[in-house]
Amino acid sequence: MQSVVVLAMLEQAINAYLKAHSNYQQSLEQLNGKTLGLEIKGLAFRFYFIFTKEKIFLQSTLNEQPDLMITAPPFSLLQLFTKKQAEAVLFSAEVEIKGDVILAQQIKKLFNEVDIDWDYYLSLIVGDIVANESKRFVDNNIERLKNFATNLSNNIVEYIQEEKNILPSKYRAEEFFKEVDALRSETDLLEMKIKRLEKKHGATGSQK
Amino acid sequence: MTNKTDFGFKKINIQEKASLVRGVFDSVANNYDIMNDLMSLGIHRIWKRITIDQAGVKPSDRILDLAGGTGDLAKQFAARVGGQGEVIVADINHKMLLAGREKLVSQGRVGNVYYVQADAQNLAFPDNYFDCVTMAFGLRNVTNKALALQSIERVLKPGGRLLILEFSKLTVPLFQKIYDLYSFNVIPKIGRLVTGDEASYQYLVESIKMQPDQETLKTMMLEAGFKAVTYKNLSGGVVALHQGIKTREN
Repeated sequence: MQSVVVLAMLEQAINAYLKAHSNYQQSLEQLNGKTLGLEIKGLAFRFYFIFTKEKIFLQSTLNEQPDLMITAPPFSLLQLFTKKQAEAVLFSAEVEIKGDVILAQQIKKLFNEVDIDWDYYLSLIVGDIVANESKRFVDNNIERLKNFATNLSNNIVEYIQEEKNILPSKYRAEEFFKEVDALRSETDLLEMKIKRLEKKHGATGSQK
Repeated sequence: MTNKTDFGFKKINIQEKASLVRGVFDSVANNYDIMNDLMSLGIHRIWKRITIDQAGVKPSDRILDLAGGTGDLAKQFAARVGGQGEVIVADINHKMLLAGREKLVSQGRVGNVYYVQADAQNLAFPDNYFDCVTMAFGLRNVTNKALALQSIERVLKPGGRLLILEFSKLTVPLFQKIYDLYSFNVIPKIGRLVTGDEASYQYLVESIKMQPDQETLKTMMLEAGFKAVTYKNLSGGVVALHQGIKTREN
């Protein structure tokens, strides 16, 4: 959900800048009706720009292929928005472009002139995805670790008890302890009987 | 087949529901937006923004915003689809439509937005006509929801998407008591203070309780012919956003 909020913030920042600088009206009219998709490589996250005469809209879903799709790692993406000489980045090996290359240059030109804090917004988007992915990773792995620990513990017990016969099973141990208890009781009884006999014979001996 | 339906917690004759719901929305139309802000503490704006985001509309699309009321979604869609596209705001309630039209016109949102008084159960549009249909907080007021879903499926183009934003069942049962306490004790009182009409907001909170839960609505959408039906719980299931795609041609 948070990426929607971040996209809304970025959308507001871009449009506030464009509204305050009327010289971009012509660029927007040129781009009217065009769509741009950006995919952050390695994070499998896409978002889309919709250009209209009055505003630029951002959303995370688009029901068709955009006119232009750019796939790039986070740092290259940031350079595309902020570097004045971004051609080198645009046509570098790690940036994939599908669609109208002239449109790519028009959009890049517009975005390079929109002086907003791209670093901040892109870091929020990337940070949010990374945070979500990390949370999912941690959640999945905590569950996996719990299962692993349970399985490992069961397997070790089974190995020691059944395979190696080093330790007895709980049942065998309980049986063994019962037998020990019974033996102890019998030993106690026997000891008492011996003491009684000794006493009896001792007493008889002294009478003699 | 039973001829009874629910109106909040009351059981009424099916024929009565439309006029009773009309009465509720006639009463609340003028204060609808401010009440939404007060009741949801402004969160309905985020829910609607997520709906817009997930609709994935593009320039030149044709959108139907059912139960469009005061035009919150339509305003956003109209800007996105541009002059080549169009947005039709449909609502069974005339007063809500008037309130929506007045709001959008005053904001300069004209030219690609049209207003139609329509019953979701019997949509008077051609088959395979819309790229996207949305219905925000409207389905629970429809008498025959299955019929409405079939009607929507008919007017969507193959590949078109339906999004239903509606109150649903909380995913964290612990909050249910707090939520119920707020719903049944606070919302009708806010309604009385702002609109002077407590009964309409009592109906609102009762109708939320009677709304099908996430899985039931998903099943209903599948039964109406939608494919790839999914839902997202928002704010812990206070509302859910259901989506489905129409795949066949009528």
